Amino acid sequence: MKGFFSKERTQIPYKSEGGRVHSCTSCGLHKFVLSPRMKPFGKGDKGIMVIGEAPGEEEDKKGRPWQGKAGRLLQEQYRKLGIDLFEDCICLNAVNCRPTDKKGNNRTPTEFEVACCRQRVIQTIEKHKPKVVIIHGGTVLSSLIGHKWRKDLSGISKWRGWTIPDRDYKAWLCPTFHPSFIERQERETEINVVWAQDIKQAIGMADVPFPSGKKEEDCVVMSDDIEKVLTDLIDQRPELLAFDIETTGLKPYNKKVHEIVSIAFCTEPDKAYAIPYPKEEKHLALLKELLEHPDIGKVAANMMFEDTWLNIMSDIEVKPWRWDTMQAAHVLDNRPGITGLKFQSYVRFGVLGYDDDVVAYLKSPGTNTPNDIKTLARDKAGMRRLLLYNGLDAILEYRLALLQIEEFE
Amino acid sequence: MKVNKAELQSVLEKVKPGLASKDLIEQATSFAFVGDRVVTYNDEISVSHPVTGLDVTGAVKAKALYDFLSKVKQEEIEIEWENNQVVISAGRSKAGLVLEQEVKLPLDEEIGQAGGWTKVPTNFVDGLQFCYPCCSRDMSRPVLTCVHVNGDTVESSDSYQIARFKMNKAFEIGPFLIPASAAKELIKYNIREVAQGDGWVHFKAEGDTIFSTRVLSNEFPDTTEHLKVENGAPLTFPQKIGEILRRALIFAKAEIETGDIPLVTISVAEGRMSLTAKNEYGWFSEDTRVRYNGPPVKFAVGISFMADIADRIQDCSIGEDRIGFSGKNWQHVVAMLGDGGPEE
Repeated sequence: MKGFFSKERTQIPYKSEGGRVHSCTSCGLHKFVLSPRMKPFGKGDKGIMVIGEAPGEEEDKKGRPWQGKAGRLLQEQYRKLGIDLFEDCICLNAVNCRPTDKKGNNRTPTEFEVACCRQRVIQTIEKHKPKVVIIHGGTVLSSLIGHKWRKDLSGISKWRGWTIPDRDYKAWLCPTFHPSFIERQERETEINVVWAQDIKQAIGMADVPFPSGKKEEDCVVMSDDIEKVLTDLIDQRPELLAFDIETTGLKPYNKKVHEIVSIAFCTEPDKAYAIPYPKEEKHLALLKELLEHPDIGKVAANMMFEDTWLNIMSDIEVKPWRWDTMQAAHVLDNRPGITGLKFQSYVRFGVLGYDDDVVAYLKSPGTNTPNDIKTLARDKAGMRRLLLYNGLDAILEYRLALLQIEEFE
Repeated sequence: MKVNKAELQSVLEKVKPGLASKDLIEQATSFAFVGDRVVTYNDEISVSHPVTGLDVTGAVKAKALYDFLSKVKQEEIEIEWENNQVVISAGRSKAGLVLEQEVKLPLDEEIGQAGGWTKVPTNFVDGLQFCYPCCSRDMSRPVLTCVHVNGDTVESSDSYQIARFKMNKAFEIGPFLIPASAAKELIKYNIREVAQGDGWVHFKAEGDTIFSTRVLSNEFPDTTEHLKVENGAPLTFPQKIGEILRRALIFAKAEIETGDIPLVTISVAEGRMSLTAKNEYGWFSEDTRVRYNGPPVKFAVGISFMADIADRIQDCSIGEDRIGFSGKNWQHVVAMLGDGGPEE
């Protein structure tokens, strides 16, 4: 065992890397503004929360969010959709005191200021329990997601348009552009259209029930009985079989160094099987039979990877390939950086951080250098952690494939 | 006015945990005198204590005042407050410390007024003392860097070990999470009462010291299931295990994976326990007899905390992936690390 608790994503760091506490005192913006710690404003009748970047000059004077030029544009846009920003929504900012530069002009809040105000924003969400949180701009994205998204967050362009069922906030997170970005456009472009569509879609999410279901962790069956799992799957002859392998590296060509450590399968949305990768001949024969079975369609996230490894390591030619979630994600939406299973799992299912327990072991120092996965798998408890992760990958792949197939149809 | 030096030093000592090491916030490295109390504040902890005979408002640099007092031999000193300085006379020595007349610490706006005091369980400090060493130092997991106080339970975990202490009475407020850095200071006081603040919890100690600590509002993971050691084989530790562990600690190596906790490897088989440790300076090994009928096991555990509780262990049970210890009103479970797990 390598520890009792996986890294919880809901935890808000209360100190920065420099050791400063994330608090109003250490931020200090409140000392220089007319409306310190601006309170959320609006009745929120429709359960929609609208979050902006930070108060500007007019907001600071009036003590309410969305009072300036960009705010008026936003009010107008919401009005067109039949929404009164201050009756139907609750409005607040990622940073709730006006940040100014040395000349007294508005400026973008720093990361530290965003972090200092994060707890306040999250507490407001917890208090008002909105059904939908509309995220206007990258600063808000950083406030709500930045601390739990371990990879590069990138800009708002990558995130806009998704309706994320965030499990921590128990609300649909709907990122889109900040109205000041729209306001700065010299003429009406497709950006205006996209922005209007994003807001319309976000508002519509207030009527969509928040998804609930079995916890993914409870859906993974981890087994050492390789023969039984493989035989059962062959007997089942599922139409679709999503599978995923965990390997010691990215490229399998050095067979002396590399190996496949575990494999997981999923044939229904709420059940996956994860097993150590077969070593005995009879088990490998069963695996070959399953993965080459003509009646069982195969699904993977990045099928090139699975295909190459299995071919080189175990002489298995996976067929027939039915779906690759990465390719499908790209066909559905060609923005860069969105096709990976981790991103898709979060924006579509709200599942985040399920790799926390193993990610340190999956990184290898070089293309041909093995990662540390075998260190993890050398004791029983470590192997169970790897199998759980492997099984979760398979389940999410399967669920994603079903969604994508539906969208294609 | 004449002041007893030792009494003043003792008061300043009580409020010292609220001082910051760097002046990141104005006056965070100063003693602030507000009415009849001296106060410190560093954005995480604030401590105040009554001070008699110094009816003044202002702040003086803590280090200068504290260091000067410690170098003075006289039992009684003379303190005079002038517009912008405090003049301290001790025998033939005289020192003038800059006095900032305005106290700029955000005491009211950040911490608020403490009120609504209720009694704390009499063994609360014991619980804190037991649990805070198990807190994590990994700041990316802030919840685990705190001690969780919930009803009659105090608990903590760095994810590799869990400590739980049962108090003799439940708290009337909470649950709340006290950062381990604050808990480490809090155990030095004889805590009597507690009051809930907004983002802060206040503790009143003997002598009317008020210790306020920022608390986290996040949820602590449920530890109940993890504390169970299923199908565990009982192990009776030898009486001198504490001594052995303290010897092994000298050679224990801190592992990055476990948040720099020094580890000792313990093997148990056929009535014998072997403890080994190795670091860059050398190695240690010691065998001792134990009562144990389970399968042979070999595991690595964090040694410091084990050494502290070793003499209080009443029961120990070794499970498949964890080892559980318990005493009169506490439980401690350690995940098997490294080469852990039953050996074939």
